[in-house]
Amino acid sequence: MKKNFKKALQNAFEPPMPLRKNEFLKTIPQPKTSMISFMLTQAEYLPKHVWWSSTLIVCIALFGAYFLKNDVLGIVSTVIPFAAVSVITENIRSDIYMMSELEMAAQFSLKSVVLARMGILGVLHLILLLFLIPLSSFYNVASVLQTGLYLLVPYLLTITIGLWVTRKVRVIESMYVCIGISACISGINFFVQTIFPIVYEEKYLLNWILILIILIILTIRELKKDIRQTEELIWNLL
Amino acid sequence: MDLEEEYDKIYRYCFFKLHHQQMAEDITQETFLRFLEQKEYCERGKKLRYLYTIAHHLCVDAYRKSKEEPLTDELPSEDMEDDMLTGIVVKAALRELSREEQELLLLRYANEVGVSDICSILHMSRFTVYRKTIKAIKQLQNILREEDFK
Repeated sequence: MKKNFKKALQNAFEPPMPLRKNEFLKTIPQPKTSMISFMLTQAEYLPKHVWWSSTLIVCIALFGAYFLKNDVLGIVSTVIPFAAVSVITENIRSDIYMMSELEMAAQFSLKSVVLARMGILGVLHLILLLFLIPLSSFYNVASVLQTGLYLLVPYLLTITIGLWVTRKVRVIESMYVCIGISACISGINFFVQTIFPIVYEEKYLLNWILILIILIILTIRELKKDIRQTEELIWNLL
Repeated sequence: MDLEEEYDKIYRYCFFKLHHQQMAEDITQETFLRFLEQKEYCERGKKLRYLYTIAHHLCVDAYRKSKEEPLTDELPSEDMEDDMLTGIVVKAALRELSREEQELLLLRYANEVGVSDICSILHMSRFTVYRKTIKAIKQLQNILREEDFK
């Protein structure tokens, strides 16, 4: 359809100017958004690579389970730090693209948006781990508890170090540093598995639990500091 | 949803149905008030369809009521006069189309409503909407001189 024809049609249907529009719009309350719809809206804004990376890890795990059987745990624990990177990069996305000022003008605060996205990613990774832990444990001599520890430790280690780095340096380069960190942790994990498989023996279980507890505490601490920094950032921009 | 933009579109739709400025605006406002009362529709989407459905029902009620209590004729405002002058040819051509065809063109081209929403507002299949839209446009182009708008 030609533009002038469409324009003529639009004009033909044009009513006289409404007289009480502005008064009416001022009086009506804006509809509130529920927590679920807010979370769903935020999930739509998560970059595609987040979904692709999680899917890829599941595919690698399935591939490993089918062809390598016993080595599936090693493969999954090597690739799991890359899933953790998405949490960190999402956390600082508005900073690295210098969008904080614009997000301040939006309907929701930057803090609530970041928290919502982190929450969605947390749930996504929880589902991912709930799938990977039994799968890895099934083809390995390690128990479910051990498998959980061997997957959670590199995952949380990546998040803790990544959050610390991004808290200190909130620029686009920090994203590449995080990818480097996850690659390093992944490499170290693979190195330990190959050279020192002794650390995966049952007698070291307590040490693994201790490391996990320390990492959980450090992750919570880093998250708290990160949230506080987001609030400070908003104040600085005001 | 941009309430301001939707207000204009619903108002245009109501004015098309009633040809009465004040009534169209009253019904537009009533439509939004009823829409905002229904929380579950705000959450679940399909907002546009729901808005048009409320507007349509309210227009039908108002039309029935106006038969009992005839409305006084309104004098056209300056805006209306300008509008009438600029769009007089197209308006005259549109009047030759059926009411349903006019409504279809209003929704599709003036209010830019998506085809799937039009289907549920007018209770038509996607195929029927496409067929009737093409037929209405061709008819309109035939009425208007082809060299001007084709």
